[in-house]
Order: sequence, then C-alpha cells, then structure tokens
Amino acid sequence: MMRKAGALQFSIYLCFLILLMGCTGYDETKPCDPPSFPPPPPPPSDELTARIYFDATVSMQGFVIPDPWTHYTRIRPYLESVILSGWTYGKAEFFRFGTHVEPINRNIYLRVAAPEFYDDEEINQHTYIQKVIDYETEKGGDFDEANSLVVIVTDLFQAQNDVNLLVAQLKERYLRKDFVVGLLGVRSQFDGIIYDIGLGLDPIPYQVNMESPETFRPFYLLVLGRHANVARYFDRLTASGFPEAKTVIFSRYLVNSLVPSDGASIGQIENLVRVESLVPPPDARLRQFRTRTNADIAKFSATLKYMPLPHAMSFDSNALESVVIAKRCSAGQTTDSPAAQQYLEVSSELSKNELTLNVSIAARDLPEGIYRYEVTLSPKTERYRPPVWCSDWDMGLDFDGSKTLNLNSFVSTLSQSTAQVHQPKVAKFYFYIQKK
Amino acid sequence: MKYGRDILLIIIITVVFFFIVRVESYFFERFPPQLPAGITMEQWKASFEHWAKIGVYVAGGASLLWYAVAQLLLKVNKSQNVGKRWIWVMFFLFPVGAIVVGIFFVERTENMFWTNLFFMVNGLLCYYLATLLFSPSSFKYTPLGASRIRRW
Repeated sequence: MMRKAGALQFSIYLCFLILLMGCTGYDETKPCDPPSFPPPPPPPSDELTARIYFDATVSMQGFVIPDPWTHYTRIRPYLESVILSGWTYGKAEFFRFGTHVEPINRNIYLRVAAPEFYDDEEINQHTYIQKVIDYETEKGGDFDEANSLVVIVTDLFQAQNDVNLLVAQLKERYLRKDFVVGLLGVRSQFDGIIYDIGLGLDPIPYQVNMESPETFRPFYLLVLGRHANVARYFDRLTASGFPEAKTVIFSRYLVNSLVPSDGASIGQIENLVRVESLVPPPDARLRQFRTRTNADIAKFSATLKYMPLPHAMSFDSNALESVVIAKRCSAGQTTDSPAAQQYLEVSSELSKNELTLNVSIAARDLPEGIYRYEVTLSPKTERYRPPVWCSDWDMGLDFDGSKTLNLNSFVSTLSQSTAQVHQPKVAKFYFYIQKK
Repeated sequence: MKYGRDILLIIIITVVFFFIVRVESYFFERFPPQLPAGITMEQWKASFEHWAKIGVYVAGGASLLWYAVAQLLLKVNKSQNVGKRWIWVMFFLFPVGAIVVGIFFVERTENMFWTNLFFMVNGLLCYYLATLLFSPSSFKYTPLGASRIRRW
C-alpha cells in the first residue's frame, strides 16, 4: 500500500515538474510600432485652370503650313479640350509670348494655326520663355497655383541659347515649391526659318520632307504644375492622336508607391529566421527577422517590384545609393541607433521590373534588442541622364532642322536640378531585426 | 475504480507530453533552426507543434489501446506475461507511424536533427512511460524494464 502511494506521489511530482517546464515563458512582448509609410503621389485635382502660352515668334511660323495640317496645328484644339474633358471643373486661358507676354482673347487663340498669328513685330522677335515664368510669378497671387497648369508651347529655341537661366528659374519657381516640370515633344511638319541656332549665326531656312517623319521638326509643351495634373494632361494628349509624342516629367516621384503593398519577397536567407510577432498587426510591407543564436554574419536578400511611373526621369540603374536609418525599439519607444546602423551593409540591383537588395548584418556585434531599419534607395544625383529620345533629338554642333539646340543640356540640367532639390527615391524597405 | 485511475494516469502522462511539446517549441524559439525564406518562425512552430502533438495523441491512444487489449483480450497466464511482450512491442508501430508521418510532413529546415529527435522522443517515450507505469497489473512486467520499476 505504501509502495502504491509512493509511486502515485512520484508520478504527480513528475507531472508538476514537467508542467512547470511547459510554462516557461514565450517572449510575447510586442514593443515595436509600425513606421509611418510615405504617402503615394497626390491624385489629380478636380478643378484645374490651364494657362496656355503660345510662342508667337517667327521661328514658330514654319509649323503653320496651309496644306497639309501639321502636327502643330492639329494639337492646338486638344490643348484645351483635354482640360475640359479630363477634369471635373477644367478651363483654359490663353496667352502669347516672345519679346513679352500678353493675354489673348479666344479669337486670337483660334488663329494660332494661321501664319498671321506670328506676324506681330512687337512680340515676334525674341523667344524669352523666362518671361512667361516672370509673368506667372507676378500674377501668382491671382492664381490658385495648386489647381493650375501652365502650358508653354514652344520650339525651345531660347534667345541667346540661355537654357541655364531658364532652368534656374524653373528650379526656383517650381521645383522648390513641389511643382513639377513636364516636357512633351512632338515632331511636326515644318517649312520656315529657324532662328537662334547659335550666337552670331544667321537664321537658316528649313523644309521637312513630308514623306519622311524623321526630318520633322520638334516642338514642345513645357508644362508646369502638380505631378498628377501634368501626368494626366500628357496621358490625355497622347491618347488624343499623338502616340508618337515623347514625354518626361521632372519630379520627386519616380514610382507610384515607394513601399509596394505586397512587400518584398525574401530570397536567400542565412543565420536569420523570419518572424511576424515583432510588430502587430502583420503587415506585408514589413519584414521581420530574428538572428539565430551565435550567428556571426546574418544575410538575406529581398526583391521588390519596381514599377516606374509613366513619364519618369531616366537614370543609370546601376547607380543607386542607399541610406539606412536604424532605430531601436524598446518598451514602446523608438530611438535612433547609430550603432545598429553601422552593423548593416546594403547593396542593390535594379532590373527592369525588380529591385533586389542584399542585406548583411554583423549579428555578433549587434547588441541585443529589436531594431527597425529603413533603407531608402535613390538614383545618384549625377547619374540622371536624358531619355534616349532627347539624345536623338539633340542638335549637337552641326545644324539639323529636325533637332533641337541644347535639348540634352536642358534636360540633363533640369534632371539634376530636380534630383538636387528632391533626391527622388525609387523604394523604401522596412525591416525589423531581433537579436536575443 | 482501479482501471479508471490507471486510464486517468495514462491520460495525464499524455497531457504532460503536450506540455513537453511546448517546451520543445520554446527550445526552438531560443535556438531557431535555419528556416527557408518563405516561412516565418511562427508558421514553422505551428507546423512542428501540429505534427508533434499528433505523435503524442497517437502514442497516448496506443497506450490506452494496449491497456484495453491487455485488460480485456489477453488471457492472464502469470508465467507467460513477459511472453506477451511482442504484442506490447507491436503497439509501438502506432507512434512510430505518427513519427514518420510527422517527419515527412513538417516544414523542412536546414538541419532536421532536433526536430526528428523531438518527434521520436515524444511519440516513443510517451507510449513507453505510460505503459511502463500504468499497464494492467496482470501485465505490469510486460513492458521492457518494468520489472525494475513496478513495485506496486
């Protein structure tokens, strides 16, 4: 009887011991808050007033040929109609510029497609695009700038070829204020005289070969406003019968979403395990890892979808730079952790549709704790380059009426100015690392 | 009354092994295996615990089945109690089957040593301990090593 009681007692003690072992705690603390994600580009406005400035200098006269209709004269009505059809409350106002800027009434606007529009000697002598910007600045108080679009129709043959002055003005007046500069180019039939082809050089007559579109002469819409409005304007115009139009928007936005909603897919992983308990609730945009015990170097690779915006600036995809910010999460507080930052190395590769990050962490040196890393990838400022079509359309040193003087220089300088002001980003990747 | 107590104790042993599975899970929490990139630690632990618990369920069920068979179907012949050991050994096939299934279906890791070891320990030890300690008194010496333990 005593023996039976002893065995039972032994069994019960054993059970209690094991139960106590079973109760040894899970670490279920959830000390990290999710980061605040960058917002996507704002949507187009409901209301829009487009102020359309026509270059009324004689160099534009060659685009107006009575027969046939040129691309230049064909696009004129669409400049207004896409505003009316593309925005709930859209309207257009018209101006002409050259030596100075002046508003024009609807009757004069309708004569843009007629040669006499370019005959006014008070205005047709010099192309001063910067005067449009000055005019906009002077009248700025009268306009609802957030809901405005400035459309400058020109051949970009600036008086005295002073593109740097123009870029400087665009940078100060628009880029710094979070407006964007859009450039849409269309090649058109042309028969006329080209001015401003270089200091001290005489104007040269030019006539395109109507059978050969590559001899057509480009004209441009320089469009200034909010990114989404400019992008929509370009989309509508190209869909209105100008699919061959070339576009670029100089903007802080290169992609629609810096943090793709479906997050990163994790490829190679070494000395790390993925977890999902560090940041509640689970969010596909955040990746969470725990270092393995006694790990020396921990590594993983993450692949994000890369979907550049239409009309985005071009850059060298092999020249991305990364900025890492590390924060330590503790008891609901997030504090900067330069130490954790120095234990992380990131390299990146950008292909057509994918962005791959290779992350390496000196896990042995990393102090215990939970860390939030934010990796921001941006093209290097000096590695922006004009789109291919700009190089094709740039005149270079030899006169060619189918090309534009200083186009490459204008686009490159504007790209780099945008990059210098905004440091446009292609992706942000957030992840958490716990070291126990 | 006595049968009821034995069955209850077998169930308690089984429950204890469920807690042991949690301890093992905690071990993996402290010393995580290298998981493939497509799975999180929480998902892997859920997979491990699922298959480990199935092993314990089957081992507990096999223990109860052994008890029932020994109590109800096997004839008591004191001199041949140890001779029925092959039947007791055959019942190991239940937990062994569950272990094999668990090892086959659990999410793979780079090194499966501890996972496989825990599956085996849970299934085999649960059945062994339950039958070692709480086999019917007529067959109390049938499990291997019982003659040294069973003093009641």
